[in-house]
Amino acid sequence: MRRLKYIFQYSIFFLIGFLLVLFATLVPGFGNIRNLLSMLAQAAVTGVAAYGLAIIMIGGEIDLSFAGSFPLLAYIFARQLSAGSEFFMAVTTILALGIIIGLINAVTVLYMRVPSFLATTVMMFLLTGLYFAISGGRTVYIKGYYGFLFGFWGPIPKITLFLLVLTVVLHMLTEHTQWGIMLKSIGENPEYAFRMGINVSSIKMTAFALGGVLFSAAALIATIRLSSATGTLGSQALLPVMASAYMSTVVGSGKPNIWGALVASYLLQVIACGFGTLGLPFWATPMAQGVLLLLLVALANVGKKRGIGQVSLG
Amino acid sequence: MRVLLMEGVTKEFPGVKALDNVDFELVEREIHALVGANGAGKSTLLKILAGVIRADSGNIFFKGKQITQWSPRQVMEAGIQFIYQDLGLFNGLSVAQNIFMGRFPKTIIGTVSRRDVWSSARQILKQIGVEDIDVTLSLGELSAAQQQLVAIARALVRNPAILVLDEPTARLGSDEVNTLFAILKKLRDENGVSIIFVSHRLEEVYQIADRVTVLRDGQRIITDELQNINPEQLVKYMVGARLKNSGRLRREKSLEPSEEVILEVSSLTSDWFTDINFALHKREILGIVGAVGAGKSELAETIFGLRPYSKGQIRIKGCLVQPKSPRASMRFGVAFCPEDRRSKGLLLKSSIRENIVLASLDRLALGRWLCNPSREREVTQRLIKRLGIVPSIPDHITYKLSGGNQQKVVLAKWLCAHGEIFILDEPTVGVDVRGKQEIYQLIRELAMQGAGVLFITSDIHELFEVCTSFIVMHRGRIVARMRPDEASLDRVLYYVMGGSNAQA
Amino acid sequence: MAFAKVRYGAILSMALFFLVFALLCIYGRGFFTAENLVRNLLMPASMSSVIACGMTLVMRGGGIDLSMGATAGLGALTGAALGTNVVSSIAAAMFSGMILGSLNGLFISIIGINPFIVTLTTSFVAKGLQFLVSLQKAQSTALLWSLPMDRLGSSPVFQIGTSLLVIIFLYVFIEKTKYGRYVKAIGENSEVAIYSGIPVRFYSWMTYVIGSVLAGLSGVMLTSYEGLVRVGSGDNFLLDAFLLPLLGKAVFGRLSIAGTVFAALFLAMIVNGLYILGLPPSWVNAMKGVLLFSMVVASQVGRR
Repeated sequence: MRRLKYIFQYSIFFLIGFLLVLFATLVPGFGNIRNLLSMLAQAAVTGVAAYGLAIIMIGGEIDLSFAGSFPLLAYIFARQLSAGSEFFMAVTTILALGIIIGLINAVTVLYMRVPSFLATTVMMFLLTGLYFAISGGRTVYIKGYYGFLFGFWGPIPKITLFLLVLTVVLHMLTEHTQWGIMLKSIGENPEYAFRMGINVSSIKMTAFALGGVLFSAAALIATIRLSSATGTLGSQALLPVMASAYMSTVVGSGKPNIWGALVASYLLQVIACGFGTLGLPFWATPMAQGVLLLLLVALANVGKKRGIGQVSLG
Repeated sequence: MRVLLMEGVTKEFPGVKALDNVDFELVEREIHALVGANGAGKSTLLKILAGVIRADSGNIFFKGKQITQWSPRQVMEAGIQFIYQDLGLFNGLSVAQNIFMGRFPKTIIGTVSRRDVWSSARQILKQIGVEDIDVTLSLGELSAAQQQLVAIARALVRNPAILVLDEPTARLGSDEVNTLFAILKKLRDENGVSIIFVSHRLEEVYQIADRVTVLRDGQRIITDELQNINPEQLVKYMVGARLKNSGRLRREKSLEPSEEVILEVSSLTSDWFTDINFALHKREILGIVGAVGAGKSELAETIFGLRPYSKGQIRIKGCLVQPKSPRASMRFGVAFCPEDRRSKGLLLKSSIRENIVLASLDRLALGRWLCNPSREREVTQRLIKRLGIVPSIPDHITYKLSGGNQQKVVLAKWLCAHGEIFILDEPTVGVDVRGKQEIYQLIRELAMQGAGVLFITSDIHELFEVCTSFIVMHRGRIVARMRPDEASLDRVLYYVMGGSNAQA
Repeated sequence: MAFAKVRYGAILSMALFFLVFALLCIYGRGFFTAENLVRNLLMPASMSSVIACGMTLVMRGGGIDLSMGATAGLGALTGAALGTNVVSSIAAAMFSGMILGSLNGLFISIIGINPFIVTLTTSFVAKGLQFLVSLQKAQSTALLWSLPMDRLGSSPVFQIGTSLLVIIFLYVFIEKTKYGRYVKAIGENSEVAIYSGIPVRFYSWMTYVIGSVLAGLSGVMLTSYEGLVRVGSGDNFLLDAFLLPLLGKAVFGRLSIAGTVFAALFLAMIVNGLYILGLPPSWVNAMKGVLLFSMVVASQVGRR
């Protein structure tokens, strides 16, 4: 029975494999390595943001403000480039802003004791409002070619490479450092962690800051890829990022994790690309995503004795 | 050589003097038991030692030096480790990760190597003589006893001079207790650790401790070598003169069970117990006693409809029933007060009134859907008065009540629901001596008014005090049936521990 | 009810509310007119109240429903595409909400999976259904409401009246009936509820159904006010839906219909006031965010 449970937990891999085979037979070139890797690149935005969210979730909190910081940071970045700032300067500024937003969230949650769900939602409102205020909702286009970030390194898109490296680094951080293990313990039981002398506030703060940096990185990737900053960036990202982060708990240990988030966002991307290439109607993609995710979630929960599903929102 | 001295410790809370000029001393290489009833001041004293609360007056000397600044972190660093009843471990992390929490061996680049941690964990466990725990498993997969050992290993990583264990045997079976005690003795003899051991179980105190300190009502009554005090004396110190009155009470008003059978269980079998047969009469208090893991709670939950059974029958008032849910059982008049009243018996954040009416909302509502707060309050007031719940305000929030009063609220809930068969699982856990007596009295009254009571406990003294007859369970089977007047304490204990007729 | 003490946060917020109201009456030109109060304050507050009260019920039971925004949009689209008249449109909207709510309830209450994950995935399903339903009537992704519906949507009697009905119904349901007590017990400690003989799975499932039905209704209310429906209408509603009950909780100390409605009114008043005071429209949202932020932080002062 335990073996069976094991299979169910990794069922997402079977699903992706099945879909890839399916699409590869139906669409010529789909199964091409180049395509597979470029889909990974397309999933990067969702994936990187999901990493940020997952890390914060490991620590037992949540951060939804990214839906607001995306359009805002994208806009600021685009404006800076248009105004002639040097590329890396602009990037650094945005990353720094991301950290600052993360820290503000941390202070609100940890020191003003506002539950993180509420605090970061309000922050999202604030940032969205700020974005509309400064930009008026216009789309800003980036002049200039920053293609050195895109393009390929051999058969691998550079973005994919970046994503994979980031994944490995974050995985090491969350699973194989004292900090990561302590973060997990805080997420499981902050009181016990405190008893063990762990500085809960400082570790959570770092988690929020790290999340903030990752969110801003995702915004940067999105902006550069589209060569523009649009206002819908945030609201479009909300559900997929959340879904990827939560689905990571279905892959493997039952707690949020980095590789799971990657796999989940890749799955969403594969469905979207496959259905799109096949020319299926609009409704099919989200429907399939929803149904398949629901199926995976149900499978992962097979065999566990449960009551009703509940959450605590502080 | 003295390792710890707490002298003249006094702590007052609003309305209650928790500690009154208490002295406590610990020497090197000793296992010192700290005993006393609930409310005697044990946990307060330990919290002060742990740096969680500050004493009003008194001094603490650790290894000869006076301590003034005392925070939990400093306590840990100074070398005093606490293992609380809840163990404080993380189920989601591996055994090895738990052991080294906060103290991980790191590689050059700052990461933690899994293999290093695993092997170091194995070494620590070996030190305490444990070789059969797989350190790579996640903690949640271990048994309660194994988790206890992991907690000790974790404490040892920090090389403590003093180890404080609060009710460590609560969830352990007798074999496991012996293993634990062997380890504690080893720590004392070979590692030079001094141990403070808090327990409610007399046999264990005598098994493990060198010296004992008794607290009662915030005062230190006596500290002495255990060999100088016999068990009856010890209990007398703990309880005071009141011991004389209890026990006799049950014979004052004679409680004769009627002939009428209200609950009958035949050949009941499930995953947790086998072939259970008994009959509960009206006006009877039938005790079910056994060690942890005997299947008592599972049996109770099965009768209440929370667990399935594979074979056997349950008859209530003569009718064959198949309780599939608590709601169904309730319809037959079954009431169940679970063991863990705080998390399964009461809505702690709700008021007394809301808790008491929770199982009777159908009945008390107008037209069966509209709630009638004034009627509810009326009923609540009546029950508060009858059971002596303090404070007697219906809208008072339940988490503020003492353990005894909380238990009374749970009982009240079922009285309100017109229960006829009361299944009480460890109703006096965490209740002080006075409260226990009040609850025993209430149970007797319940029986006298015609209810049938199943009284589940692992405390044999309690059994003798309250029950008109009892059954002993061991590993899911009934191994003995007796009446209090035809049995002795040690005979019952013998059956509880699983003794067969070969060794008497 | 359960708490006899008065909370500082509640008093402060109420006082703030009246203060802001008074200031707006004095300084806001055109604020204190029937036209403005009804059309720009009460009507938007009504629409968001309906969905937020539905969410309040779900949260009281210890759950959450992140698919409510998509359900609102789905309800509106179903109503517009399949409804032949006003009544059938509303009925269709509420029916589609019922379907989605039952689905959520099935996975959350019966099977027992985490509500976050389940409702995230069902929001995808709802989105897909939105696309599906909107293709029934027209190729484009925007649908127009029929004239009667449009007129109804601009009628304050309809909007405010409907929301009042919903508010009163839910208030009575939650605070005064035994069902409300069941839900409250389930939300506080579902094990105790089970041990007290309460049919926990059924009532938990019920909260999702009612919540989603109300989401569908609110979708119709919102889109009929705006005159047209499209895929994605109602997405923004989700934020209001869980923000308002939590704001109400932050201020009043517990989840309640009264708190949620108060939050809805307060928010609507702020937005309306900012427009009246002449703030450029693009800054209104930012200010709303700032004020929300301070409100939320302030409500935590004096707590622990």
